Amino acid sequence: MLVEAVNLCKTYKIGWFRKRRIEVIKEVAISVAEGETVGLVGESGSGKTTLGLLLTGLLKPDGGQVFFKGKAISELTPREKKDFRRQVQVIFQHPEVAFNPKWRLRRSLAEPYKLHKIPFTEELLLEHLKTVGLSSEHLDRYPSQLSGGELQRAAIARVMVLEPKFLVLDEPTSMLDVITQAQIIRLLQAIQKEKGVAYLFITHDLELARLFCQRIYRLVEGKLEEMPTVRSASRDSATS
Amino acid sequence: MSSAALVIKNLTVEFPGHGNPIRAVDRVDLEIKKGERVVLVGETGSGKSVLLLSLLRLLPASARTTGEVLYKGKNLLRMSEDELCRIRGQELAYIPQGTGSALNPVLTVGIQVAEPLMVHLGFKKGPALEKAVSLLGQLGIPEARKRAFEYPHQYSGGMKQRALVAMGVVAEPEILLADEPTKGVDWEKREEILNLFQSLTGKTILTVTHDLWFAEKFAQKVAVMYAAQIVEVAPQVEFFRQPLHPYAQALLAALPSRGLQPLAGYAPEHSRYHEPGCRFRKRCSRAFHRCQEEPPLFEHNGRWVRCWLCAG
Repeated sequence: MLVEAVNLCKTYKIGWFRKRRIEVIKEVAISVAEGETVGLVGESGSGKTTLGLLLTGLLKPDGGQVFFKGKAISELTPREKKDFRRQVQVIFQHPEVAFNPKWRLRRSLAEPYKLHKIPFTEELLLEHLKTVGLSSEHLDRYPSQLSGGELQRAAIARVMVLEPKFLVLDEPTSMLDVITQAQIIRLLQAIQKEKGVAYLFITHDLELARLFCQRIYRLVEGKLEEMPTVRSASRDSATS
Repeated sequence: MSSAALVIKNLTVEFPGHGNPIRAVDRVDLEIKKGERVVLVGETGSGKSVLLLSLLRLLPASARTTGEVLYKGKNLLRMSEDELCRIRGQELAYIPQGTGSALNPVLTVGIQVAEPLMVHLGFKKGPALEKAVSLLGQLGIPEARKRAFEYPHQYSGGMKQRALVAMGVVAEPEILLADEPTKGVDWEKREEILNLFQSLTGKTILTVTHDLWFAEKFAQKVAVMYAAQIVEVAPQVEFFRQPLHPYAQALLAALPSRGLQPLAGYAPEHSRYHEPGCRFRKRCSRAFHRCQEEPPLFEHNGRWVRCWLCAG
């Protein structure tokens, strides 16, 4: 397994003096194989994003372990951690928050090359942009001058520079229109076919998950239930 | 007496650009009958929200709006600000997009819902609040009497959306304009919002959305906007059974339930709207020589379609 989590628990402390405790994730076990797409559905506030962030190591669990390529991520050496950071990435629901509003797209897209010491040339950047359907004319624009679909494509291009092995897609199309949604999903499928990247696809839309994912889990009251992936099953069962 | 509640004629909205002005809404014609539920669909950036804001003259001062928006025989675009203020919120209400910034964070929700009653209908604070509480309760806010005295940050996203609908309908307006009421909300909340809108029986409603599920369930009439223009207007059943404009067909084909087939290419840049010809032709698989010329809206079996294929 590429990513595996066992007995994962996460509790948030909220309220005055952080005395109230909400157990969001309760002894969850989940695995994602190389090149696989696993769906994660559930209501708003059910803990889907929390689980995604736990798998990427951006949140620390209160219990349990996350393994990446068979090694617990809490026990990675600094060098291994750096590799892990490069190989595990997230695409968020609101692409605009992933970009510095004061930077032109060119600067934002060049950042991962710098941070991860990847040889940078303008040609290479344009090649990456082309794979997601953007062009040089987009490079000199600010995030506010791009549509939601263009920004989401730019976010995908930026992540793909790092050649990740595992990508958490946190509702990447929920703010987009249906045509842009279909374009982004087909783009992600094409990237997966070419690069073998594994996805955890977080969504509200069970019908979309059934088209895109090999396995689907539903998060209910902090616990995971595996769901059928048959397309003909009713959409209503996702939320009932 | 006319059965139209709102008549939009040749409406154009332009914003100043670096070179030519940017045309966000281009010569739109649309008639909405009394009690009719019209849903305007289209891609992000097609001009839907700008159209809605222009009807109530809520756009920034830099926007240049031309054409006519006729309400009770008067052109809203030429009305004095005082006259417009009297009917805005009372006869014509607007439910804004998103719940994040639409509510005032330092006023209780109850007061915000009661405000149109005090401003437009002369209610005193007590009776206005009483009516606001009753409406919030009707809209499914639990413990409405207590929750009316809470602030927006104490409400969930779905509750804020319902509070915004309450603000829109409290003064019993004749026409309700709603911008993306289901954007970014989950399936359960979407159904709640749909039920809420369906409960507003008898109201004339124009809703802008890119949520085709909502459009199918709620609309009586669907209008499709592409690159600032209306490209198809059709009754809901006929539209979802057989859309006529190639763009409308592509919209439905992109739905997960219909195969998730993406339309290739992207909508033209605003700066290219002035180029001659059909704005969809570069993405259209059925484009032919006539598409070099801009098509007008053709009447086709009681529907309106901006495509040479429907020229008769």
